[in-house]
Parts: sequence; structure tokens; C-alpha cells
Amino acid sequence: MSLLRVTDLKKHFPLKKGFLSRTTSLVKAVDGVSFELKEGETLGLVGESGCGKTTVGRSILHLTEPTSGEILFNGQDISRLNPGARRELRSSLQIIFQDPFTSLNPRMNVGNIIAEPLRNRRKLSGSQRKERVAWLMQKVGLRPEHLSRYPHEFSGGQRQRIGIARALALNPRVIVCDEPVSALDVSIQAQVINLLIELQEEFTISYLFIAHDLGVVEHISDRVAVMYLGRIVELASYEEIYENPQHPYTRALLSAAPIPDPDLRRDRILLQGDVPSPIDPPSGCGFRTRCPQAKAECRELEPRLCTVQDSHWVACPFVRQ
Amino acid sequence: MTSIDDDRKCMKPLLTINNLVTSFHSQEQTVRAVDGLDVSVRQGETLGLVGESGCGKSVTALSVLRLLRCPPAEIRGSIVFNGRNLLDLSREEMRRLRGDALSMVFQEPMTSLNPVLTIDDQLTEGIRLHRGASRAKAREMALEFLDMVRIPDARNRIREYPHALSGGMRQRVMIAMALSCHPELLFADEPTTALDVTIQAQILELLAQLKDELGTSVVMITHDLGVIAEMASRVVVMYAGRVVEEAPVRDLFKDPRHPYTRGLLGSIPVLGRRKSQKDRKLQEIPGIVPDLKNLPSGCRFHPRCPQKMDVCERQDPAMIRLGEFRAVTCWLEAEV
Repeated sequence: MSLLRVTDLKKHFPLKKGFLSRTTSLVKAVDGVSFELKEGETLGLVGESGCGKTTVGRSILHLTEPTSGEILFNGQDISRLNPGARRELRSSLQIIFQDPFTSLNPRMNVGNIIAEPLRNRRKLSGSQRKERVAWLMQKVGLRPEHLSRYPHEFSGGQRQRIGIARALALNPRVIVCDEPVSALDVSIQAQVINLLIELQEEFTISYLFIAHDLGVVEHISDRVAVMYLGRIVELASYEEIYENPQHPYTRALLSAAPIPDPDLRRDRILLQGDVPSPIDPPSGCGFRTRCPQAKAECRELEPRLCTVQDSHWVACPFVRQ
Repeated sequence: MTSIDDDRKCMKPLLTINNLVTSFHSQEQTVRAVDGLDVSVRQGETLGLVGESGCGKSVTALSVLRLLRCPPAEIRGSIVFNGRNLLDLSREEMRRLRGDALSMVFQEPMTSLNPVLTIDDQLTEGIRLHRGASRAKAREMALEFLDMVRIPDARNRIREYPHALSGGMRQRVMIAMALSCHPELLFADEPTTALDVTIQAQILELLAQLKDELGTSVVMITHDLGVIAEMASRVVVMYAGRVVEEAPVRDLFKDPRHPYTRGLLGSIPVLGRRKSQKDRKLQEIPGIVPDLKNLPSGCRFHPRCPQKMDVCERQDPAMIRLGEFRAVTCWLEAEV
């Protein structure tokens, strides 16, 4: 059974102009995204900047209110819950942010940062809370005696560990990881990825792992969803995505990633031009303006995600052979 | 990418850096961002300069171009370019060289263009200054360069301000600007780090093509070993202000000699290399990059090194030449 089920999620940001602030157009950041996340699973969400992957993550937590769509957690529709119940549910849904330099309050010491969710959501005595904070710090590889230090005294990797400890504090079932390692150096990135894997195995947490680095996503994910211009264009297991990519965008994306092997010579699919603006996306298939296989029909056809094999989904009508 | 054989043919060093020390003085203390660097760049090659943040790779480029304000910075050693030591040149002589024979592409295409000048103004400035071209002539040349870096509709785009262009387009303008006077040596400092993967692929392809067409030597500064594997013919790996390994690109990836290089290569999740459902753990380098204000004794990598020996804590290893193109700074090699 799926722990989290997202159906036809949309988030449109209005663009306001003029004296009366009339809405003149819509930025369709997320435009009909559906997926599910199973218990203990990692779903990777990849795409280039502006494809809406971060907005998907934030909408799930209701950090931005989705325009429409249904988000079921454990069978409950989050958007229909009253504020109190929603807050309760949020302890099961946590997030780790991209930038370890701006996502921690510089005026709070580490102990208080990690204890804050406990203070808000759990009725613990002072000593119990302290014990829990020390335990959490140990779990993420921080020294508990650094409890009273402030974020600026830590390196980027350690700050990301603080963010992870804070997300872990309330025993969440799902953690949205929004580019958790992209601000880190390679050697530190490996440490944080390994930590996330260890924690997942120990506590059976499901991750929605948002990143632009295909290598990282392929490495940590069980299944991978590829997004382009607010929509999922392909969704499959990590092996399938890498070995048998079907959507022309996935193929181009995979072939564009530089691989640290000087002997590897690949036929690179070079996409022309830039990603179109989500304010005025192309009609029909969003990718048709850059697609090497675009046909005349792509102007009209709105591709839907369809299975090509069991649990391999592609949103392109021309790959269904 | 040129092969090593091609590389041997063009052996003449264009740039030779000897014992470069770049330090920054503050009231409390002095930090050496680059500490005794020896590197040479040969004609027509692409040298990759790789390392994590704070290893001194960008400061090296800024030292060569003398773009650091001195003081607080202090540059010592020798940087010989085309037979002249750049550190002996006057500011005016240096200014004539910059953007002409010696050029640079910066990392941030968003912040390294002047937002209040049009592309035209910025692109023709160098051509008019170095080539003495008239405004109209410079504009013709600028348009040629915009075509060369494949900016569509160059005649109209040249009148626009940087904010009207996407990140990839801005980086193309930066490249056009850097190459506009046919430099002999180009420093590209993380030229694709701020860009998306598909745009990165376009820019790397473009850089490789232009390099061949114009015969420019390139120093590619990056933290991304994937970019290095694709672009460089020779690689220099830096750690905490020092060179730890130098090798032709193939040798570096197939037979890395320094434990840091090995660790770095092992810690990258390589696309398509994950074999099983279970096999997710990455090799990691424990600890963090040392603070330059508080460096460990002996070898700077020893607190993180899996093959640490007693001598590593006590004494700084010297760079050992293993071959014409190979060198490593490690006690492990000194023993043999």
C-alpha cells in the first residue's frame, strides 16, 4: 500500500500587474503531477531548474498551498484536514532543505534548533528532551557536546546534519529531501548520502529525493520520476530509467550528464535552446520545442503518463512500441 | 579532447608557474590560499585544475591574471607567460595583456556581466581597447563572435541587457567576450557549474570546438570530475592550497596515486554504476577539508587519509616525479 499518494497536483502562481493587481497570466509551476510513495521507499525527482520539482515537494507539506489535486497520506486527504489535525500529521512529514547556510536560524544554538519540533509537538520533560536531542545528534554523526554551538560554527556538511537531525526529531514516516547535497563538496556529499541511507534502513523512512544530479538520484532511489516543465515525463525503477530510458527528454538528460571516465565516448543528444517559460508553455507536449523527434501532432496532443511495461510510465505517445 | 600523443607534440610551455604562494593578510593572521604551487600549461592543451572548495584553484587563476587586490593579498613566486614574468609587469602592462593574450571566463554568468551595459558595450570594449578597432568595426567583430558561440538572432540580442538573457546565453556571451581577442590562454573557472545539465552539455561542446578552432590553451577549473574527464588532457588535483597529484587524464582515472584522488573518485555516484538494489553506500572520505588558518602538521591530508603512516604526521611530503607527466605529493610513493 502506498504511504503517500499524490493525484493530479497543480500549483499555478498568478502573475499580477497594474494598479488593481489583476491577474494577467499564470505560472504553471506544477501542472498535473501524480505519483505514489511506498513505505521505506525512495522516489527520486529529477529535472532542471524551473521544472517544478521543488514546488511539488513544498506542496506535499502544504508549505505552499496547492491550486488543486489530492494528497493522501495514509489514506487521509491532507488538504481537507482541519488545521490542528494537519499540524499533527505534519510531524510524520518532514523536509530537509537545500541550502544548509540559510535554513538554520543563526540566532539559535544547535540544541534549540533540534529541540524546537519536540517542544512544539511532544510533551517531554526538559531532561527527556535533552536526552532525545543528544541521541539525535549522535545518530546524525554530530558530537552531543556541541549542543550549545551556533550554526556558523559548523561546516556545510555538519549543518546539513543538523537539518537532518531536526527533520528526524518527530519520527517522521516521509522526508522530502530538497537537493540535500547539491551545496556540498563531493567528499562531504558522499558522507551525507550514506547517512541518509543508514537512517532510512534503521527507521524505515520514505524519501522523496529531489535533485538535479542524475548520478546522485540514480544512486539513492528505488524509482525515479523525471520532470519537465511542471509535468512528470517518465517514471520507472532506477535500473529502467538508466538502462532503458524511453522519453526523448530522459535520454537527452542522461546523455548530457558528464561521466568521470575519459575512455567513455557516448553519442550525446545535444538539446537545442533553453527550457521554455512556464508562463507561456508550448501547446501540446511541453518538450516539443526542443525534442529531436518532434512531429506535427505534438502541437495538439497533450501526452499523458502511460505504461510501456509494468511500472514503467512514459508521457510520450510515440514510444509505445 | 586531445590524446596524450597529441600532447607530446605541443610540448612548449606557454605558462610556467613556479612556487606560487598567494597569501591574504588580515589584522589577526595570514592565510596562504595557495602554498607553493608548481604548474605548467603547454601550448594547445586543456589542463584540468580540480579540487574541493577552498583548495586554491580559483585563487590560482586570479593570481595569474593578477585580479587580486594587493594588499590584502600578496603573490610571490614566478608566473612566466610567453617568456615574461607576470609578477614583474606594471599594472598598465598587465592591463594590456588581460582580455587580450590572457583571458578568463567566470563562474557566475548572472553576476559577472555588468547589468547596466548592453551586450554590445561589454563585448566591444575589449576589441576596441586591444585591437584599436572603430566602434562599427568592433561591432562587426562582436557579431561574428556571437554567431560563433551560437547566439540566435545576434543582431537584435546584441542590443539587449544581460537580464534579458538566460543563464546559458549569458555564459555564451561571457565566452564570446573572453575569446574576442583570440587569447593564447583562457582560464575557465567553473564555467558550467551554475548551469543545468543540458545547457552544460551545450557549453562544454562549444568550448571544446572553439578551443580547436582558435588554438587556445585552456585551464579548466572545476570540482566536477565528470567535466574533467570530458574536457581535459592533463589534470592537476589540488588540496588545501597544494598540488597533490598531476597526471594525464586517462592515468588519473585509471591509476590514481594519491589517496585523496582515490577517495574523490570513489565518492562520486557515477551514473549507471549502481549494480544492485542493496549496493547504495558510497565510499566516503572521513572528516572535512582543513581550515587554512589551522592546518594540520605534516601532510595536509593525513587526518583524513586511510593510509596514514607515522611520517605523514611529522613531515610534509615533497612532490615526487613519477614520469614526465606524472607527479604525486605523498609519502607512500617516496618509500618505493
